[in-house]
Amino acid sequence: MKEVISVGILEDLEDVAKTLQELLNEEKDIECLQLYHTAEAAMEGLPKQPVDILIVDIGLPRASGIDAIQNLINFCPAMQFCMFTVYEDDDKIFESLRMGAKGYILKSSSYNTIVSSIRELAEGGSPMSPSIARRIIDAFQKMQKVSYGGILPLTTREIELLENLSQGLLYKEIAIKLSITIGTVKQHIHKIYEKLHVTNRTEAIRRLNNGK
Amino acid sequence: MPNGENITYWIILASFIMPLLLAIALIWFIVSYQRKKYAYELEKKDLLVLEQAHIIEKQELIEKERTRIASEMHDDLGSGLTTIRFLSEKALRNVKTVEESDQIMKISDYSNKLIQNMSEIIWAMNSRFDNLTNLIGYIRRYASEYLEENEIELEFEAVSHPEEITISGEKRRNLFLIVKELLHNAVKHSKAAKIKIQLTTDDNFKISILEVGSIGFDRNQLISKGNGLYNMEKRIHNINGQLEFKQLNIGMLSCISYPLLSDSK
Repeated sequence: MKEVISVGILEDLEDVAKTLQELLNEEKDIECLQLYHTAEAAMEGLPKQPVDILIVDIGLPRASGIDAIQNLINFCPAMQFCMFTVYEDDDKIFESLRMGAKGYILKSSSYNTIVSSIRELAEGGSPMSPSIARRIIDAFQKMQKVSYGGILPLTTREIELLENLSQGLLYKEIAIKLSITIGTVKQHIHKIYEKLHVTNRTEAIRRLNNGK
Repeated sequence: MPNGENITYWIILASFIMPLLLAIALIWFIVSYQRKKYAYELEKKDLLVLEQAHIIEKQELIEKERTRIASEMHDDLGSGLTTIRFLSEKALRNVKTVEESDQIMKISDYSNKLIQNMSEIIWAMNSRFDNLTNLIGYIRRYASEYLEENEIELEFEAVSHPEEITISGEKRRNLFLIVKELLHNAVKHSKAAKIKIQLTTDDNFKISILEVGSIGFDRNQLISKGNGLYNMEKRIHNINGQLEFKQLNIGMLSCISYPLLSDSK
């Protein structure tokens, strides 16, 4: 029933990219045929044959992974971006989420976590850490002060969820606390990322118009 | 006598004018003195502002340097360690003996641990996280993940402080590492099935960790074994805090107390 998830990798460390590709191809429901070592190569190749999920390293030679997302999101609207990074408190993760990434995998996570994160993302879930949660709350609060049309407000449930996350609670604990399932928690987070992206876009467009 | 009259006239005139002139001179002197004083104070103020601007500029430079070091660590060491980890993961799939696999597993574990440690250093270096709320979230996250991994139940309670309290990176890191070590000891040495962590803030930031059902440990024995007690004591000393252990009926209680006043000014 479920189709195979096509995955692409954008990572400049060749050994890491190749190993990850080999490991992913051992899974029955995952297929990884495209490897890119630079943002430029990915921007060139992917629009011709988009994948379901692109795993993106942030620090690349020349153009960064964030630049790649910014460009590719216009050509491959259905493609999902998952950041592949060493640190979860990185400013750059937040930036990439604003640009449209739907989640991130830590490079130190176990292989099983990597595979399950990819499956989760394909099913509409997303991971989030406490510090990212805190920054999303801040970002929305700042935007709501300068209210204008087109902004996507967070629902009370979403704010509640973010606050719990920012205090360091695990998904499991939040699910119990709010009497919802872990799956629902993940879906909420996915929606929050989407809002962050859309809101960021609206704000960017507004700024551009005001500047003129 | 026109001459004598003239002199008297001059004397009278002089006796009026002299004090007047004197008074004018005095007023002029006072005004100019005040002006000079004012100008001097203004100059002093300007100098102070300049000095402050200089200090801020210096701090910004230090901040910039910190960020640079952090990002370089991120790029170089992070890439290297990640490669080691992935290559060992790959090697693990081709080994035949248990011994080989054990050794390769160790390589993978060590590189992961190094990535984790580096991540903690970078967390401490980033001044954006210089507040208590962030520290509490960081501790909670670590405790829940680590204890879940080791199948120990966690009860976590944090009484939040209404104000935002600043706590610098070095202090955050020391406090976090003490908690980490205490939890590590709890997992490795005590037979606790449940751990209660309670965080409170008044004049002091207090962290109590109760290992329910644990029989505690012999301090001397632990020091000789190098179980990190010495390190914890050094760390708590560095930040002028206190670390105490109490054996209660229900289990071992460790209390960390850190004075907030010294940091939040």
